[in-house]
This record gives sequence, C-alpha cells and structure tokens, in this order.
Amino acid sequence: MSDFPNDNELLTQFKNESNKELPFTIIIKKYQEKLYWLIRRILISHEDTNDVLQNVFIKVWKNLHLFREDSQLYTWLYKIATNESLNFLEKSSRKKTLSLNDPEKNLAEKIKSDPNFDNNKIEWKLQLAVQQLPDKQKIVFNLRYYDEMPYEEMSKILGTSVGALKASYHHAVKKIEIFLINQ
Amino acid sequence: MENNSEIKTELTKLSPSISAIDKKACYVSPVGYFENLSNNVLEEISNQESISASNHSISTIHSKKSTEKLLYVPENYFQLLPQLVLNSLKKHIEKKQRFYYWIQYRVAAAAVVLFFLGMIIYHNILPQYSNNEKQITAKHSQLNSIENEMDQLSDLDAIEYLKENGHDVNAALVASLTENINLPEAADYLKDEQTLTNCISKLK
Repeated sequence: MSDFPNDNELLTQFKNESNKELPFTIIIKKYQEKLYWLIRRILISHEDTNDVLQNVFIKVWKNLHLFREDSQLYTWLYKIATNESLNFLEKSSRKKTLSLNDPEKNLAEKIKSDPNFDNNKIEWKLQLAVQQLPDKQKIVFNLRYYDEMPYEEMSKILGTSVGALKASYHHAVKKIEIFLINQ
Repeated sequence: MENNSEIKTELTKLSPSISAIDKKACYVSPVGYFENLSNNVLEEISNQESISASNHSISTIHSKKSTEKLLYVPENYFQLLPQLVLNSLKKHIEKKQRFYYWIQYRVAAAAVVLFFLGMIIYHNILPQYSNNEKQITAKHSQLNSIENEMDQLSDLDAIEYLKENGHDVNAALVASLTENINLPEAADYLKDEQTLTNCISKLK
C-alpha cells in the first residue's frame, strides 16, 4: 500500500475532471483487497462479495466529489463497505425468512461448502463461530481481530460509541470461545 | 490511538485460546480477480452511465413529444364532439323510450289476457253453480207446494185416499196421533190394566 500515492493526492487528482479515471483506478487498487476481505468475511461467498464490492466502488465513483476531507478516505470506504454488506445481509435474510430458511445456518452452510473447508482446522472452526454472531457484532469482531482497527476508527465507521464497541467485542469473543469449547 | 500490540494484549486477556489461533486466510479469491477488478468496476460504471444517458435522452424525447401532442387526435374532433355527444344521448333516450313502450304493450296484453281468462272462468263455472241453485230452489218450492196441498186435504179425503191404496186407516190414524204423545212404559201397563185404556181414551 505504501507504493500508492496518499489519499489527499488521489482526491485532488480525482477532482480534476480531465483525469478522473486514473486516480479512481489507483483508489480501487489501493483498497480493493482490504475491502474485499472485510466483505468476504461477512458474506462468505465470493460472488456476493464481488457484487457488493463493485457496488461499493460505483457508489464511491458517484459520491467522491462530495467527500469532505475532514475524515480519512479509508474510513469512508470502510463505512460504505460495511453498510452495503449489512444491507445485503438484511435483504438476503428477508428473502430467506420468506423461504423459511435460517440465514445463520445458511452462512454456516456456505462456509462448509467452501472447497478448502476443513472441520479439523481451528481457523475454519473460528469462521463457523463468527457466523453465529449477530451481524453488527460480527463486523466489530472482524474489524478488531482481522483488521486490528482501533475502537476510535471503528466508532467513525459504525457510528457507535467506543464503550458500546468494547462491550460488543468482549461479548463476541466470549461467544466465540464458548462455541469453540463446545466444538 | 491504540497500536497493534495493545489490540493483541486485549484479546489475550479476554481469550487466550482465540489469541493463540493463527490468523490464516481461510477463503481464497479467484486467480487474477484483483488485477481485473478496477477494469470491471470502470466498465460497469460506463455501462450504467450510458444506460442512464439513454434513459435521459428517451425521457427528453418523451417530454418533447408530449408537448408536441404525441397522441393523435382526428381532425375537427373537438368541433364535432358536442354533436357526437348529443347523438349518443339521443340514441340512449330512444332506446329507453322503446323499452318503456315495450313494457306498456306487455302490460296491456297481460291485462287483456287476464280479462278473457276471467270471462271464461265466469261463464264456465258460474252457470253450473246457478243451475244447481235453481234446481235446489225448485225442489224446495215443490216440497212446499206438496205440503200446502196436503194441508188443504180434509181428513175424509185422506181416509178415502188411504182406503183406495189399501192402507189400514186405523193404524195410520193411531200412528199419526201417537207421534205427539208419550206412550206408557211397559212396567206401567203390566202393573195396571187401565193404563192402556186411559192412553187410548186420551187419544180420542
């Protein structure tokens, strides 16, 4: 990521109408993997992740000219990505409710259907454990555990107080621990 | 701001077992996915923009056409419209009138039929009834005349008539006289021989 120009530079280039696509491509290249794995850990399937990630970047393209530089670009991108993921989960859970399927079970089934899934490996068990968390708690755990994100940053992305985020993370860790012990 | 070691310490304190898990990437992205993503996104954006542009041009055409009377109206339609409305109204009224005439004729025909039916019933049933009544009254009058004739007959004529027809006059007289008198009981005339004598003397 250090090979890429800094965000302010990219934003300045983007605001120059004649050369819009180049800085935008750099923004995609700079953040695509981080955002992809953030979304992938929530939605599990690559196809769903790809749909949501493309939507995220399309929204960024449409709204980047409105972006105020009082917050960091990556915070804004994470915010869009988490919101889009939560919306996707909500829509699909509504569809699943209509078809009388349990959405959490469905995500667990998706994990188990992964060609690399191995029930004996602890990292896969951890993935199954994370899926039984409520959606927002799942995002808090993923951001803290995998992205090692400070609570202050997380607070800006999720619009939740630091105290509430700490409590949410603690609850999530305890639930996962119990799940792993029972396994 | 926290640093990474602080985040790890927090997790170790909360759950040493989770902290010990190696953060291996479980999922795999398709080969070449990240190389092509930016191109795919830009392609999708240009597709969406061309669609929205064509939609915009279509909507512009629509709005232009709508101002230029997009829907065809026949020539002089609005001048002729009042006459068309009146004609259709006339037709409607005529239809209504025809219906009322039809109803009136129907009612009249029904009344005539009912009248004739009434007449037929009156002529077929009432004469029979009146004939029966006449016969009954004739019989009554006949009986009355017989009674009158009988009343006018003298006892002597009656006795003569009975004798001529071979009837026992005395027995008939006794029968006619005893009609209005209570005859003595059997116990009475068995006890007393005079009972019957007294009864006959009463008849005389």
